[in-house]
Amino acid sequence: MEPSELITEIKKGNEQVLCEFYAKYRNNFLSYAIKRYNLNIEILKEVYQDAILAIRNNIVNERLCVFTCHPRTYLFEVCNHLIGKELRKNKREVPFPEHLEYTCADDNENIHSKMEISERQEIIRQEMKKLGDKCFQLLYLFYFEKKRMEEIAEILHYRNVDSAKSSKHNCMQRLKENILEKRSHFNLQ
Amino acid sequence: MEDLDNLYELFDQYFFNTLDETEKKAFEQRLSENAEFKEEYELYLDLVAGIKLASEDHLRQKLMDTDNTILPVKTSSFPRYLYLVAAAVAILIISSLIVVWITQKSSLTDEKMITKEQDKDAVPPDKQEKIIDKKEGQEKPEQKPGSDKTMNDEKYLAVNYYKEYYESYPNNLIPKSRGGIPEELLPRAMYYYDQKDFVASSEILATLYNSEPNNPDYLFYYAICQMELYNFKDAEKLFKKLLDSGNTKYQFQSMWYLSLAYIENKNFKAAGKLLEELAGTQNPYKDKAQSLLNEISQSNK
Repeated sequence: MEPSELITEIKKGNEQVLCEFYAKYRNNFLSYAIKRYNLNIEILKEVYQDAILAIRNNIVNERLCVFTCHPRTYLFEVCNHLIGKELRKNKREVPFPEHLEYTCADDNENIHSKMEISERQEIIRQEMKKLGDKCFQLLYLFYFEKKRMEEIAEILHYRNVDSAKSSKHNCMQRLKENILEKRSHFNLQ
Repeated sequence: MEDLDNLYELFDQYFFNTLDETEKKAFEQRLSENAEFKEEYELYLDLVAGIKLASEDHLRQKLMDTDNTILPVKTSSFPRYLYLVAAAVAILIISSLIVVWITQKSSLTDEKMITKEQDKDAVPPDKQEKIIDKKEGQEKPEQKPGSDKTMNDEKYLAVNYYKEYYESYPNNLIPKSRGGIPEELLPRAMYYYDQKDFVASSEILATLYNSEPNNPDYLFYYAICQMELYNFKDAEKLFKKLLDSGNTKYQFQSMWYLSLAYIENKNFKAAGKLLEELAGTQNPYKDKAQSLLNEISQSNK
């Protein structure tokens, strides 16, 4: 698949293409990183997943519109950045390429998909999973896939856009109520 | 305050940056002046963040499901230094055994041979039959049912050969940089090569190679980078290209690394042919090629 096609498909939300991209270089990356960094394989697997998600987020948020190098090279570079962060977290003294040192700053949000998660966000994360399939898909498509309501109405077979919009508001309302209920229960602020 | 439907639609528009400048200013002014509005917007932001986290979890699960369809990477949890310790202990034990064997060799008598013969006689009749058959070459070694030589066996052998025989090729092009990162492309590529950053090195070497496809240095080191990155298919193509070009600067090196790439790509026949060629001529890889050939033919028996 051409790199431009890869970007188009990932932007469209084609999860199969994303999974294929993930599978294609996973073992290459693990073999290379094990040899080079001597990190635990479970950490490297997580790093690799984070890198794939970071690339996907950059594409969907239009921060990555074209690959200026081979997608594999881009992927490995993102992995190297994330490994740099991991090594810094563990204060590991291992040789690390100079040119990557500059780009491992924690404020580099374009690369790092992980952020500080507040207690309230963590509760929302769990409550979101209890919302039911239809609501989950609707909010997933709107906020994560960044699809327009017209597209969502078509994908989820709503009668029309207004009907999809109304459902979205109901889902948000339900989610909000569940959170406020939890918050009063645990007296969270 | 207005009803929640309208409010959240407004939040969406601000969040996705679809308000015009005037609306945006009005929104921001309202945020700074109206505490209730601000609180509602902060809750909205947390809701969106939570939705994204749950969505990422969903996608991550899909990636993890994909893991099950990929062959696992062969690794060991054994720390590297323990390998050295284990190797040292093994060498010690082997040397002691050799010393013991040499000193006791003279005391080995025919009696022991006779005992061996007796031991053989003690094998149950059904197994004896197999031993006899084996001697006569009528019985193949025991294999798992349904498998002649499975893909996994071949992969395992390939990985072992690679581990045993692969050595990084040194940078003989540009002396090691003592200062910062060089500006020029080739010294920069070789700087990364020395740093073992083969992704960066490969990227620059690819550019150099594309601008000058007949340059054997670019092609050879670009191919070596592919070996280091475990991209054996690409490495195979590049080494073949170098050998086909007729340039002999890296002839033996290319033959050696190409044979390793063939092995990794499970093309043992092509690897054997190249190794035979290397073993049959005077070159720095002669002995290694012979040894690898022996191992491959041993494992095929």
